[in-house]
Amino acid sequence: MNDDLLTKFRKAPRPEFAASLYQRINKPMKTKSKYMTLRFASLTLSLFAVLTATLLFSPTVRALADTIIGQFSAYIFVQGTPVPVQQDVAEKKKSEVQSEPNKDVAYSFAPDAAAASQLAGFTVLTPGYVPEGFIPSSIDNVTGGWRITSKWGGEAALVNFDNPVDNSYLIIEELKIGQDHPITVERPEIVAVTVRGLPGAWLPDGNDGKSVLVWDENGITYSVISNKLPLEELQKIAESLGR
Amino acid sequence: MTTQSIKTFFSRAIATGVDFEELYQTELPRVYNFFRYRVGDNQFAEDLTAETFEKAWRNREHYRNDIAAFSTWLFTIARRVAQDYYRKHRHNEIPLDEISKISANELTEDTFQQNADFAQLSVLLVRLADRERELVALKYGAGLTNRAIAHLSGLTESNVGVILYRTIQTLRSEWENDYER
Repeated sequence: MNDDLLTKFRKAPRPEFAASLYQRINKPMKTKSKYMTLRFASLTLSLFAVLTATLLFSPTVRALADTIIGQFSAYIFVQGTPVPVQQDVAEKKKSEVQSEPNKDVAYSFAPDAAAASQLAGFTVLTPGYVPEGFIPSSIDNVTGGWRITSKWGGEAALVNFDNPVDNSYLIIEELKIGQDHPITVERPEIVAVTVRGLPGAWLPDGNDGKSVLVWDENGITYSVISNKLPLEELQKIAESLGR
Repeated sequence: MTTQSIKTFFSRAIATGVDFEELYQTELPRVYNFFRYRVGDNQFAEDLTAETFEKAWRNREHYRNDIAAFSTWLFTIARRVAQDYYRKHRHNEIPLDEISKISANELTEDTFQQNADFAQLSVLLVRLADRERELVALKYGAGLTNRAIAHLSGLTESNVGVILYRTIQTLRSEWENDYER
């Protein structure tokens, strides 16, 4: 067996396939026009105006909106009781986020933020501050670096740290959602906070034992997640991103 | 397929004066063969190739590099499509012996030996670890250079070379063992 044997199995795509694929990617381009774009933009603006007016003048809708404290590009956090998670499942989830990524989730590895940015398609921000005792996690025999994975039609960049002394973990997720809708998550407590001068939310201990600091910045949803760090530490980490 | 239409698809690169008809016709078989080596099945390879080009079209405004990087951008999408495919089919992978049967169904007299060999290669590729299999698909299916693969995978160029060398050694050994049986 040599290299020729490996390359000789290449073959041209069927002409019918090439033609039908071309038709599929070409059709929307033929129908898309400046007029259509303008019409779509005016429709979006009209809908936005109606929604804004409804929120301003309808007490019922305003009351409903008040129950939704944290709304971000990728998540909508609603105050409520999360569905209880069985103890063994919760333990499994903890161990997955702490050291081993979910085996069902495929990811690409990037050694640094520059490579991660290229893979993710947006500028990935590295934390300038990590609390004492935290070291880069080892995942799939690779220590440190970023994992890039597809999430809800977009791309997510994750970096993990472990503190072996008190068995705590720290995860920073930077997510640019794609065409999918944001996911709604119930949390027992949602605290409105300011992060990097922007509106954010702190979600203290849920039934999975982790707390999350989340905010939107330049179209990216950032989450700083830990099972033991207090809000002040999560804030310091958030403030240090990219600085 | 008109040149004008292809130019529209690759609108970002029009200013460079590249032959776009040629570009499209070059990239399509490369992506298609990447998936053939990646999943070992022609039908799935067509589906995943179509998905890649459709995603590329939908996200074309995100492509901001020069024409030399277009292939890298396209294969970044292709890799993600392949990863999604394996995530969805992880619990429903085609058994090894099924690959041989599927490929055998496609046999014709003229291409009997080549198809049988590809079926055999597909079986060997399935046994590889995911990373090795992807590198083989990028190198021998898509025909990318080690440098381009390093750029895509985040590995160093020399690391890509070493992994591919060892993988080929393994494939060669298993290929010969299977033929001796």
